[in-house]
Amino acid sequence: MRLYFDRLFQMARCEWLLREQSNLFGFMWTLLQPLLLFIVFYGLFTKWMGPKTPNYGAFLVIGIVHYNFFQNTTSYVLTSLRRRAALLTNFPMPRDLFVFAAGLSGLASHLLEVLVMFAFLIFLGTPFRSTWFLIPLILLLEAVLVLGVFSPLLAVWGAQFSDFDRIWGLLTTMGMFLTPVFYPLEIIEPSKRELIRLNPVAVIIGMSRRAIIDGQGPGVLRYLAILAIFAALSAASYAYFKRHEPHLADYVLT
Amino acid sequence: MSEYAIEASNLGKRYYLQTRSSRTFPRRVLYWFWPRVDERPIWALRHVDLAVKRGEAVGVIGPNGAGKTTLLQVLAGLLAPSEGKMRVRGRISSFMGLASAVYPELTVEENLFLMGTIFGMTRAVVKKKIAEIVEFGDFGKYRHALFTQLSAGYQMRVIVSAALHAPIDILLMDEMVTAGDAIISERFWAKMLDLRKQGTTIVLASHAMPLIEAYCSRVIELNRGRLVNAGKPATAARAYYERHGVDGGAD
Repeated sequence: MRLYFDRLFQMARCEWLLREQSNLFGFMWTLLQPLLLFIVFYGLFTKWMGPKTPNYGAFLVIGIVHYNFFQNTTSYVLTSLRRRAALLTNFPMPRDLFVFAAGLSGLASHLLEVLVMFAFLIFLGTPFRSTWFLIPLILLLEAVLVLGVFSPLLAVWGAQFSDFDRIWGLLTTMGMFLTPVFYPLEIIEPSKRELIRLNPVAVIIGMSRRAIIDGQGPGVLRYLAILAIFAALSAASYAYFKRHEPHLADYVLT
Repeated sequence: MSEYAIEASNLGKRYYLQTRSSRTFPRRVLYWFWPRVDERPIWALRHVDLAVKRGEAVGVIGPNGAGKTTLLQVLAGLLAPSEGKMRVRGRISSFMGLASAVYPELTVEENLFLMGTIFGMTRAVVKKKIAEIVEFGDFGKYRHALFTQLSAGYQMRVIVSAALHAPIDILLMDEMVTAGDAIISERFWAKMLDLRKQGTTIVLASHAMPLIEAYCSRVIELNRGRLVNAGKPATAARAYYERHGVDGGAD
């Protein structure tokens, strides 16, 4: 067990160093994407969304940061086995290490982005709320969703299908418009709102916005129910991964 | 406790030779209707039986494409066998493709910690042994340099030094592991001799008969995925040379 976690730490650390180019300036490049998205969406939509959504700047940056984590980390995890094919096919070690190391490196970047996001929110004049202290719990839920539910499945499919990264790229691009990242749910017609509410990323974003902007917590029972659902889905996802584990090297070799 | 570290019976590994586009999602959907229309099955291993006792060193010989590396990969649990059964009692250390344990964009020290954990050492053990590893490979002045900045020879020194300080129970090895300079190669094979004396179980795949004869007590020969011969190194080598029309330089 000790060796497993040591390997996980080392691999996650190395993945993060490679992603962020081993220095703070590398991390600045990572911040550029959400910043540019914010500038574009804010510039385009503030006139339309602003009157409907008080504090639209804060609303937008929260949506972008959370969706960015989902999109970037799932895309990175999806290629984790193919990217490390040589390691996978030469060293006997648990295959989930590759998946979780890639996921944890994405999570580490996200945590730094969230810190920068709060600095930006304060700059935008968003008033401090005591519910900001609930954000770590929301981030935990988000981590279980991305690392537990999506990552094992995507890693298997990314190994099995050489073009799955393109398919996932299309799905997450579509997903950005099916998630209330830059628009409030209220502008969607009521019959379609419930469908969007089923989107787990929309759930995370909504919880985060209510805690940061409105000063409302998610509610203990609601939080625990969602955590239980995500945990159950994670168990199923991991079981699927374990079923394919003996064949992963064959997938990446072909 | 069983006297066998590795037991394999009727081991087989099948691949499907594919076109470049075969592993795409649309192609997989097509296969639901027309199974494997453009894939040819090929057996890299077939009907291979192998039993390696604890402390034994077995050599695996054969021409290119015989299935030597595939056999090692299946025994290491890296590839799932297509048929047959296998049992391994002990922790496998793989000395195949050692260079793949490196992230070239990071420094030598960062890679030592990474490789150390991949090879089976905890971070605490790597921290304790790092000075010894650096001294063994004699690369102290490059400890904080980027790995890519080292010459190929020094890169192999770093990798082999780390690998040799890891705990080894059952060793599966491809002789290409020591494509490095003469100094590190000599230290590597001296360490192999120590491991032999300590009773480490070794399976070594090689084309070099002198190596096989020096380090192995028994040899198996593969050809086109099948076990064609087994025996003492000298007799197996002679039979191999005769079968392939090679002048083995026999006395």
